[in-house]
Amino acid sequence: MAASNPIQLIQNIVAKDVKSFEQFYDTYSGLSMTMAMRILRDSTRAEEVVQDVFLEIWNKAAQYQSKRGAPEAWIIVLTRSRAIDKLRGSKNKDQKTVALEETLESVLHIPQGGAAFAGMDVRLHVSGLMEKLSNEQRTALEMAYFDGMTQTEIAQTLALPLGTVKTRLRDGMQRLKALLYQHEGNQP
Amino acid sequence: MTHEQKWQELAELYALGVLDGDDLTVFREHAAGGCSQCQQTLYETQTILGALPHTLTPLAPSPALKERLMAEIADQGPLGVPSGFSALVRPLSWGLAGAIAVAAAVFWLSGQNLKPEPSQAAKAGVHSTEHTRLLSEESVKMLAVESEDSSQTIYGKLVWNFRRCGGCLLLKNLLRIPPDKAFQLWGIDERQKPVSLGVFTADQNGNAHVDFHGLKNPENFTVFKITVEDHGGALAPTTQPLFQARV
Repeated sequence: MAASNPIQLIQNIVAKDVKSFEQFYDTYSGLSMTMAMRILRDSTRAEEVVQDVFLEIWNKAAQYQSKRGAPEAWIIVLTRSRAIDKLRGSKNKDQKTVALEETLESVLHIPQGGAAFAGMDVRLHVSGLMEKLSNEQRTALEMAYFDGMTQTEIAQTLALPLGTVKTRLRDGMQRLKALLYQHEGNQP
Repeated sequence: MTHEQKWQELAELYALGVLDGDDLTVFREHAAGGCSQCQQTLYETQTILGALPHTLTPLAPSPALKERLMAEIADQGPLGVPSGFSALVRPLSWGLAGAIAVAAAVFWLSGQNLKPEPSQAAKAGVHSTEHTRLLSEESVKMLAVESEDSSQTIYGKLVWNFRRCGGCLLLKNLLRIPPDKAFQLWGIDERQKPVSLGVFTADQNGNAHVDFHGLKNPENFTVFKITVEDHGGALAPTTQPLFQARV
């Protein structure tokens, strides 16, 4: 029953096909581990996150909706949310990680015209991507994305005005977008 | 900054997960209105952010993790959750788990005009006081499963505990369906948004049992429906429901 198409794999996992689950794990566990390690910087805790993520996939595969993003995006959002929860401690879990998942769960719907963007394979274009940002942009983005800080926390940590942090974050994302479009041959 | 620029900025920061305070509140209210431009921005920003993990040096989990994970799922039943009612009540004590199971069985059997043998109840090791306590919980509901088509007779009960974020479905006298098809249980909220709660088949006697748990916002379900789908299940209902249970 195992297949190579990740969406087909998820459908097989819904039907509790263990071989498909194993194939899905082999495909994406490295990505999940890489992400969790970057956030937690502790292999034991990172593996706990990977285990939680894949158990969640095994038990809730039916909740995946392909129109809301590729399986890889689902893995990334789940891993990031669980790792940041662990980083902050379960007692300190605030609305932030809820918001992360909301973007896929309830707010985000792929709009008309989004399909072309969805076809972009970002893995082909990321070599040296972060190095093309300014130090300020890169630092702000890493604190936000990998360290799970809010804009206020970043401002406090860097002792910068909130507006400056917002500008750095937005400029960084705009730069990333431009670089990805540049590789894709599109105009931003 | 124009009105559109303001929302685009907030949408980008929201997708990044950094919004807090008033900015978060304001944007959530705006996004709830279904702004298509913000949805486009959210989607594009998520795609861009999806590139960031690939900028890291790739790592792999230890082989032991895979072994643990595969052992864990092997321990789970064919529906992917621990057998019986334990998925529903995993956070609860085993005593309460037993109470839920027996309470459901009592209701199930009473619906069939049958009485459990005293020895069966004793074997379960649960006393009627426990049933009473469980069923007195405000969050526990016993729902009747009804056929959408009067020509199909169905006996079914759905134990629904929104506070425990889960429940259990028991069905008898299910119709036969082709081997490449399966039943699928859906929870549907007031916005008519279906959430798959499990794919299942009946045994040779037409009996089926489904546990579901770990749901998000389960209190919003207003009705449960059962459809027939392809064997692996569907991402959304593709056929008219055969049965339903109203909350």
